[in-house]
Amino acid sequence: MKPSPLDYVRATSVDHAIELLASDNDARLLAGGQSLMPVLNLRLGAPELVVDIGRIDELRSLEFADGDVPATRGVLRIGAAMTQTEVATHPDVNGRWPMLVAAIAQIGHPQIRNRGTVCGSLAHNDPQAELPAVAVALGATMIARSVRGERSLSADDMFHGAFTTALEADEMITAVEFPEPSPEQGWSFREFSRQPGDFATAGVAAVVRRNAGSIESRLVVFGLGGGPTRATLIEEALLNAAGPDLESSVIEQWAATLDPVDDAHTSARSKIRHAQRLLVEAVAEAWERM
Amino acid sequence: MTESSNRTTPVRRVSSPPAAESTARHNITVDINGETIEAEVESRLLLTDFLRDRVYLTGTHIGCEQGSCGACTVLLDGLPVRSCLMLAPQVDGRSVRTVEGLAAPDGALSPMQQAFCDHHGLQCGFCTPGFLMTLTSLAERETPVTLNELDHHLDSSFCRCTGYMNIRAAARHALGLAHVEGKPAQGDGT
Repeated sequence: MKPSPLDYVRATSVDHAIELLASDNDARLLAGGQSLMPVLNLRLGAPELVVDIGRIDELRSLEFADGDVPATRGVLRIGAAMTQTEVATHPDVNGRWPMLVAAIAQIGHPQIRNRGTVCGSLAHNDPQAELPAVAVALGATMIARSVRGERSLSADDMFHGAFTTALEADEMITAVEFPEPSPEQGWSFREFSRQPGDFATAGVAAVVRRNAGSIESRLVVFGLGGGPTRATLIEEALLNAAGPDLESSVIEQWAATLDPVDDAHTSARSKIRHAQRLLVEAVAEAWERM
Repeated sequence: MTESSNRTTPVRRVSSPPAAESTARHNITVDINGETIEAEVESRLLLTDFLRDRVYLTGTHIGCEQGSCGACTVLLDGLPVRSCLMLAPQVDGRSVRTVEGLAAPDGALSPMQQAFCDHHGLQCGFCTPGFLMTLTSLAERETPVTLNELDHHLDSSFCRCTGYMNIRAAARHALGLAHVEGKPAQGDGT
């Protein structure tokens, strides 16, 4: 199908974009459009105004800054108009944020990643999308602007349920900051999809590291219906673990907390089984890389 | 497509239907296959429909209109994109290349097109323009293409005549990968 009648404005600056967002209650931001355009074409949504932020110069930036805590770690700051391809193919990103690169490789197809943006995926928070889970696992921070000012949102606070975030209707993400993983940190990103390029049936973004004799981890599961969700029961079980092998009773206990729904392709039970297997594999792989 | 800026060919203005909606229309200038095209377009007009219905370049096909099938793939500033997932006003000032832009002016096929002919890489031809544009972007890239990378690009278009193996053979020849050993990549969904 085709989109419903709408107005299109190409914003020339962030100020311009947030003014348009503030003045029209039914405006939607268009960055890469790889989620919004299918929504418009299928008429799942019919906004009155589409505000194109894809060519705003100040959002077309990829910056590496020194981090503050600890002092040696850097920060990758990705402007809202940077595509997934541009981020994943940057040589410094590839060496220092490998999980981000691995996750982007699983998003759609090359043609989708050539247009789709990192920040757009975070703002959209599709429950089957990779990047919200990566943002939680790596402890990313979103920078949000509106005419009321600017604020930072931690990934832990950002993502609510499916397609819902802490962003207000008049706010836009201008950038996301990914802290540089510490060298002793192990990571794994695994997902199952029915065929390459499909959305994930289930996926796991896992980070583990040793800290003062215990194991700190962030194990984030996605694809099961809600937003990215940490497997806190497993994280607690890993705290004093000597190795990556998890007690099956703990896994079952955690699996009982999952509540996916059947869909046309996969039963809820099958989704849980995928998630269990992926989590076990991801913990083992992250541990090995630690 | 930067050579277009040096061309002396006149700008071609394509016509638009009378306004039927109260929403804004936009004057856009687009380099399409080396020709500068001017048009007034509705806000909601998809790039696919602009190419087909206004510029009459009907080689870009419409399949799913949700970014899955790949039939509408064109090159935007040299990179393959889904034209069904772009609004025509978005390409103002940019360069678009469609399947009509592949053959030489005298009709000689591009190496990728010729390889599709040589290896029976098309049957009904519906998916072919999308495959050709995606694979042309690989062929014209400076960094070498691996077989694995080729296979992941082949994933990105649907062929319902099930001709993937012939398409793969054509692409391997055109990309200089004909003698590289390797089975088709399996889904890497772990």
